[in-house]
Order: sequence, then C-alpha cells, then structure tokens
Amino acid sequence: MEAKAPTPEWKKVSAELLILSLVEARPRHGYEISKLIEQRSGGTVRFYVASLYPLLYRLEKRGWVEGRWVEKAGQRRRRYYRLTPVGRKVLTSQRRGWQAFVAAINRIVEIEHA
Amino acid sequence: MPDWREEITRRLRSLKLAPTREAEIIEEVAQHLQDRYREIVVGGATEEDARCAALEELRDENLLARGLRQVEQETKSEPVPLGGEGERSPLRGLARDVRYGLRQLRRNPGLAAIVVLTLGLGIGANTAIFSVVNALLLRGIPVQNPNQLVALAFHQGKSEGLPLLSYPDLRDIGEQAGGSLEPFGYKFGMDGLSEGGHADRVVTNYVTGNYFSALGVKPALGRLILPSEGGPSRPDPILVLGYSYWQSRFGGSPAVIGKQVLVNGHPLTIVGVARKGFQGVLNEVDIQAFMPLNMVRVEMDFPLDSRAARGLFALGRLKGSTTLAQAQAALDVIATRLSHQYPDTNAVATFQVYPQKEAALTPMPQPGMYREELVVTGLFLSLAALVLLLACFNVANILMVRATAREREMTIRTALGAPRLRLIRQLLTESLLLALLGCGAGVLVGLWAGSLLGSIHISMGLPVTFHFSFDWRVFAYSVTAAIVAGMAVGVMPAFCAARANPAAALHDGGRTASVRHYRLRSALVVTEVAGSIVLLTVAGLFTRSLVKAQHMDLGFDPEHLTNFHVDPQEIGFDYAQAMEFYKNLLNRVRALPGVQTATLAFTYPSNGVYLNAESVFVEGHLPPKGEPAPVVSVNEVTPGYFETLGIPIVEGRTFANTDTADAPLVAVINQRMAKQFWPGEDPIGKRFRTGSESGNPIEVVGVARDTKYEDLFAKPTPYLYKPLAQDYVPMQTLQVRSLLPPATLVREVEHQIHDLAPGLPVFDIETMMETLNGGGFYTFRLGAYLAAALGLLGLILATVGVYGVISVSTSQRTREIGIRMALGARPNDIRQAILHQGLTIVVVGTLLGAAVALGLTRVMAHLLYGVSAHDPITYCGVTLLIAGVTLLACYVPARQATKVDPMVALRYE
Repeated sequence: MEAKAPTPEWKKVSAELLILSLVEARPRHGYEISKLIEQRSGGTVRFYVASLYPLLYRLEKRGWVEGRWVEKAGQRRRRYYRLTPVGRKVLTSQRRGWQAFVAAINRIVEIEHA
Repeated sequence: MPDWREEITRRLRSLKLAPTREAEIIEEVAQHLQDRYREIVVGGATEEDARCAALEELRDENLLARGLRQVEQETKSEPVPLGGEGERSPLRGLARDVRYGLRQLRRNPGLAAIVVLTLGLGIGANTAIFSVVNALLLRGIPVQNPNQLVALAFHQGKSEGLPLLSYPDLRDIGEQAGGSLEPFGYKFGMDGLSEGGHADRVVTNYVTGNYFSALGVKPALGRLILPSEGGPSRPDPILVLGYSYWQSRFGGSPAVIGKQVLVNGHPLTIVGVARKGFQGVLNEVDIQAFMPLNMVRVEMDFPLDSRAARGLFALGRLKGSTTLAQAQAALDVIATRLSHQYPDTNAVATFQVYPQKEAALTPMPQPGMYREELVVTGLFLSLAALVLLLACFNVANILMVRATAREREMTIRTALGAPRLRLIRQLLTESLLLALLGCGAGVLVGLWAGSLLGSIHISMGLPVTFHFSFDWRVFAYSVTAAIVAGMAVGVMPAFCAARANPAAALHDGGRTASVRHYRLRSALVVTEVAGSIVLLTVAGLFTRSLVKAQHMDLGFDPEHLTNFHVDPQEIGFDYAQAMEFYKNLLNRVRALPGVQTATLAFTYPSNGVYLNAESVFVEGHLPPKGEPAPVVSVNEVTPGYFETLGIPIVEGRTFANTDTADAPLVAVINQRMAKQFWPGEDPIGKRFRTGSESGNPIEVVGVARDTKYEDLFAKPTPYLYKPLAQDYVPMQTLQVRSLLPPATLVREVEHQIHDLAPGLPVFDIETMMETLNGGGFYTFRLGAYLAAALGLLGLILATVGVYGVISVSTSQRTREIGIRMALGARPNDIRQAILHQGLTIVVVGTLLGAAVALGLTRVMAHLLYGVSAHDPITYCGVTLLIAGVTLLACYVPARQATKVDPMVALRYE
C-alpha cells in the first residue's frame, strides 16, 4: 500500500519546525532551504516560493530567525537566514512537542492495528 | 535570461510596500527563481520549459501577495509595545498602555460590553446602597460646623415619657451653661397656610429666636427669625418660608416679603426666605415655614411658660473647644440645681447630651439607634460588596479565558525581552479601563436604583422624602469600588499570562496553562455559588420576617380601614366650630352607603409622630415624694372607636355619646395599664388623675384588649383612651371601615368634608394596610426588597459563572470528547461526565455558602421577626433554588457536547 501524501493540516504544523531545524546547523538562504526539504523528504514535502518566503519573513518578524545579506566573492549577494537564541528555544520545544505528538499517534495506531 | 523581476513586481504591486522593502523581496525571490531555472536547464530541459517550471514556483497570480500581505498585516495590526526599552517616562508608558488597552477593547466590543455590564451591575448596587447610607448617616445638615451640633434630651427617673424639653428648662440651660453650650429648640406643626383664598397644609417648625443664628444659616431673601424674637412675653406674628415652598407656592417671587398670610386663620407677615438647601434639622423632612416659638401659644394653645409642658425638640451648639463630656458635666450641674428649685416638675430630672447624629433620622435622640443604623447599613454594604465580588469573579473568569487566547502575544513579548512587570502593568491597565467604564455604567445604575429606593412610600405621619442623590462621597465610593474591582479582575489573568512559559505555551498551544486556569476558574465559580447562597439566604430570611410581621396579631383589624387626616384649626375653626364639624362629619360618613363604621382618633397604630403622653396619678397609689409620676400614652377618640378598629372590650363599656365635656370624666384603659396600676383588682370604677395630682378625677369605665401601638414590635405598654369631647385635640384622624373600593370611598368622604368645611385640607389619606406597610413593616419591606434584588443579582452572576466555566472547559475538551466518542462512548456518558464536573462545583459551592451563611446571619438575628437566623425552610429553599438553576446551566453545554462530530473534534485545534 502506498503512503498517502501529507494533508495541508499536517504541513502547516510542521513547516516552522522544518525551517528552524534546517537553519540550526548553519545559516542558509531560501533556495538552499527549499532544496534540502525536498531532498530529505524524498520529494514528499515541497515548499514553493509563494509559501516559503512569506513563512521565512514571518519567522524573521517573530525574531526566531535573522536574515542578512551576504556577498561572497564572485557571486551576487544572497540573503542568509540563521537561528536566533529565541528561535533555538522555540525549536527545542517544538521538536519535543512534535515527537510527543507522533509518539501518541503511533500508540493509538499500533493499538488499533493490534 | 528571463526577467523575473517584472513577474514578481507585478504580483507585489497590490501590496503597496515601501520601496526598499519591495526591492529586497524582489531581489531575493528573483534570486530563488533564477537558481531554480538554472537547475532545470542543467537537468536538460529547454529554456522555455525551464522558465515555465520556475514560474510554477509562484503558483497563481495572487498567492505570493496573499502570503506577504498576511505577514505585513500581522505586524501592523498588533504593534506589540516592547517592554522597557526606550521608555524613559513612566507617564508615556502608561499613556501607551492606555492607548493599547483602548485598541484591545475596540477589537473585542462584545467582550467589553459583557464585562462593563457585569461590573456596572455590581458597582451600581454598591453606589445605590452607599447613596442611601450617605443620605441617612454621612451627609450632615447644610449648616456651619455640623460637628459642633448636639441633641439634648430630658429624662426623669424611670419615667418613659418623651425626652422633650420645656421652654423654661431650655432657657435656664442657655443662661446657666455659660460659655460651653448654646441650646435652641423647635416644635413641629402641621398648619393650614392660606393666601389669596387658597389653603395649603404645611409642615412647620416653631423655633426659638436663636435657632437660625445658632445653626449659622443665612437667608436667601429678607431676614430670618432674630434672637430677640420668640420669647414667651408676647407673640411675634412673623413667618419665614422654606426655600422650596417659596419656589413652589409663591413662584420664587421677591414680592413675598411683607406679604400677609393666614396660618390657621391667624394673620402673619412673611419676613424672609431660608437659604436654598436648608430644610430644617432633619434631612428627610422639608420644613415649609418657620415661625417664632411664641406663636405656638396662638396656633396650638401650648403653654410655653409652663415648666411641665415638655414639647420641644432641643439641639445645641458646643462653644469653643467644649467637648461632649464637658457639656454633659455642665448639664448635670444645671439639672441638679433645677431639681432643687422646682421639685414638682424637675425632681430626679436629668438632661442628656448626644452627638446630633443620634437625632438625625428622627427628631428625638435615640442613643444606640445610630449604632443600630451602622449595623444595618454595614450589613447591606457588605451584601452589595459581595455582589461586586461575584461580578469581579465572573469578569476575572472571562478575562482568564481571554488571557489564554492572548498567551501567544504575551510569550512573544516575553521572548523579545519585555519584563514581566511591564506585561502585568499592561494587563492591569486594560482591566482598570474596563472597570472605569463599568464605573460609569454603575453610577447610572446606582442613580436609577437610588431614585427608585427614594420613591418607596413611607408612612410616618410627616411628609418624608429621601434624596439619595449623588455627591462627592458617592462619586468617590463608586470610583474606589471600580478601582478595587479593576485590580481584582485583572490581577489573576495578569499574573497567569505573565507567568506563562514561552516554550511551553508555544509548544503545546497553551494546554498546560489551560488546565491550571480551569482549576483557578472553577475555584472562582465555587466562591460565586457560595456567595449567591449567602445573598439569597439573607433575602429569604428578610422575606420570611416580612411575611411573619404582616401576619402578626396586631390586636385590631387593619383590613378595609381607611384613614383621613383633618385639622379644622387650619381654616380657623375654634373649639365649638371644630366639635360641631366633627359631629356632623361622623354622622354623614356613617350614613354613606357602603360604610360599616367610622370614628375619630388623634393617633393610630404604627404612627410614631402623633404621640401624646401624660403623667398619671392613681388614687391610693401616688408616687413617693420626689419621684415622678408614671407617664402613659394617651389617645383621644370618639364613641365607636373600638368597634371601628375591632378592638375587643374585655371588661366594662366603651365611650358613649353621653360622655360629653360636661359629664364626669371617664377613660378606657388597656389590659397592661390595669395590670400595672391595679394588679389583682377590678379596675372598673377606679379613679386617677392626669397632668397633676390636683386635676379632675377620671373614672375607668372599660378595659380594652392590648394592641400594638406606635411600635409594632414592642411589648404592649400601658395605654389609655379619653373621649375627644372631654380632651379636645384639634387634629383628628377619621377612620372609616368600608368594603367600598378605596377610590370611591375617598371621593365620597372628601365630598362630605368639603361640604361641611370648604377649603379644609384633607391629608395623608391612606388605608391602614398602606400605613402599616409604609410604617411598622417598612424596615422589613425595604430589607426584603434590597436583599432580594442583591440575591437575584448574585444568582444570575453565579449561574452565568457556572455556565461559563463549564462551557469553556467543554469546548477545550472537544478533542478529548471526539476521541472518546470515536472509541465508543455514548452521548449519555459524555453528558453525565460534563454534568458531574458541574455538580462538583455546585455542591462544593453550596456547602461552603451554607456554612458561611450560618455564621454571618447570626449578626442580623436581632433584625428578624418570627424566624431564627438558622431557619431551615429558608436554607433548604435557597439551596434547592441555587442547585436547580446552576445544574440547568451545566445541562446546556453538556447537551451541546454530545452533538460533537468525532471527525471534526479530532481535527479541532
């Protein structure tokens, strides 16, 4: 049986978590973030420009990420996003919450399955 | 290379962003599209296909703009005022908090309206009660230095006579008190004032010459009575009008000065008008005319220079720094001196001095009454404060629910560095704003309720009007109540929101906080239920007292009895004319179709103003030398009195038409008087004298059953009745027993009165039941109505509170309910679970409330009649009422919960 595509509700809950976790290790620009999401999800999750950048700006306004223009030698300048200390706290709790939620659902699903 | 900028710019045009911001977004998004395009081309697609695929990133024409618009609006609509930084001026910070608070109110008009209304009702109840307290106890009479005023009372041994003074005693106190006290006095009158052929019945004061000067009152027009006037040597036929009577009767015309009017047929000259706002020394009685005291000899035939004629209400002004104790010491010396100088009239007599407020509500000083008034007003202020507390709890609950919804805002601000105190200040400012708006609503409610209370009919024999008006004290009380309410409703939600853990709030949607808030809200509602139990119990006890009082054995039959007051002296009738008038009036009224009986009497039960009392000297039982004779209340009545009122004669006979002025003097006494003066003997035929030992003997011809007299709740006192023909009093109450509708009876009787005496004012026409309800039962009625109103408010608030907390809790449990139903729970199970939740609150609240009520109602036990403070019927009734209503309030959300669609519930966020 093939796995069903995630519904819009699931994606909304996890979008912030995805972006915050991807900029945790190091600052990234928007295109890099969208490619990583697509690659690491095996194409299951895709963020289009029309959704990605409003979300990035929202996170920036909340102070969870900080955007900065960076100009590297020989390249056009790009806007890189990095995780702020507040964002780090938010990521930790969102990650914990997501794990608890998934575990709870798994328990229910496994019980019914059994 | 495609021009991405043009595509993006077109899509952003509608947003009207600032140019720099727009340029940045365009650059960034264009960069992304370029990267995407290059990736696809490298993958082998054509340039055109790659371009189309890249543009696919933008989806439809409007998606990017919609997303960005939401981001931009989030920033604009909720300008989150940051905490602390840049705020150098606390005033500026406060102003910002107020502006932000007002913006929040505008965004939630429905919630603001509910909160303002709830607080308005609570503050309004307090404003109304306080305006009554202010009018009765706090607001002094509008004279100079009212704190210096005192009331004087006369006491003689164990005699229970009225504490009034005689003019000679008052004069001697003035002469001998020296520099410590200036006494002055007055006597009430109800007189006929005729001018231009039109007669009014007016409330008057006959005053000593120094009345106005001692009070420090100035005239509005002309002059007032002078200290040289009012002495007993000769009458001073002058008159000073009360301000409001001058306005209503004479149109405020300055031409009244020098005008001649007739008072009870005697000509007097108007010399002045008292200043606006001054209406005598009792706030609730408006004196319409003031005359010098010596006119009382003319108008009332009162012997002004008799030391035994004690008919003056006396006040005094303490001079300099004289204290009450010093004044009392001076009076004790004077009393001792007078008792030696005048042993016949002043033996064992004392003068007592009290603060004037002991005589504020009634003219006779009643020590201990002020304390009693304080207890009663304290009780009702506490009840009103309890209602406000319940209202605050309700509002606190509402604000806590809202606080949960605003947790995200608070956590963002905390995360951005706002100090918690700053957030608390913001939330408290919002609560205070709501409370001040509630104060405005409450003042309006309070003013309306105050005027309603003031319009309740009071029957006292004097025209009494209460002005529960709004002055600076009432305003200050309302604002204080509002500020306290604002802090009370705001502090809990403020601390809860400011305590919120940002991580916890953001991760679990605030569910942990919700559980904590539910417990707190439930505790508040439990207290509300308990509070409403207390309020309704007090209301129930007062109501039961009222019912018991109204069914008490009065000793006479008040049904179908109507009273008419007339005083033929007001149109100048002398004794002969008045007696002829009364004889004809009785004959005519008794002959009217539908009239069963009719009589005349000076006074009647529950009338505390028309009182007459005389010293009684019983043959063979005279008091020892130096001891005053006992004083007994007297009523002058016509034959037919006892039959009309339904008072049985237990022995002997009633008065007959043969008991005339020329016949031997007779009296009917009550059982109590018979027992006191002739214990174990037959009183019929016994003789006594009234007034003095040397008066004409009076023979007891009958004994009437004890009834209630001026105080319906006192034990029967000795009482004696005299025939009007043998002891004439000009003013009489015509008492008519008839089954005719009151309006018809009144019309017929008034017609007969005016036929016999044209222009004679007929006043205070009311049925005996109206008199009782407005007189002796007044306190219970007022207590019952007030307590019932507060109790009803408490019940509504508690019901709304229970409904609110169960409803919110149920809606927050929607997901859990959905899961349960998906797992097989039946609607009945869900309903029972919700009801159980509500039942717990109601049961705990009821038990707590009953326990508190049992303790508190002991304070008011002495205010009740015929019921104990622990009356089981009241407690059971109230408990059942509260339990029933609040459980019904739980049933609605319980029923709604069973209608939840499990699939919808599981997606509920």
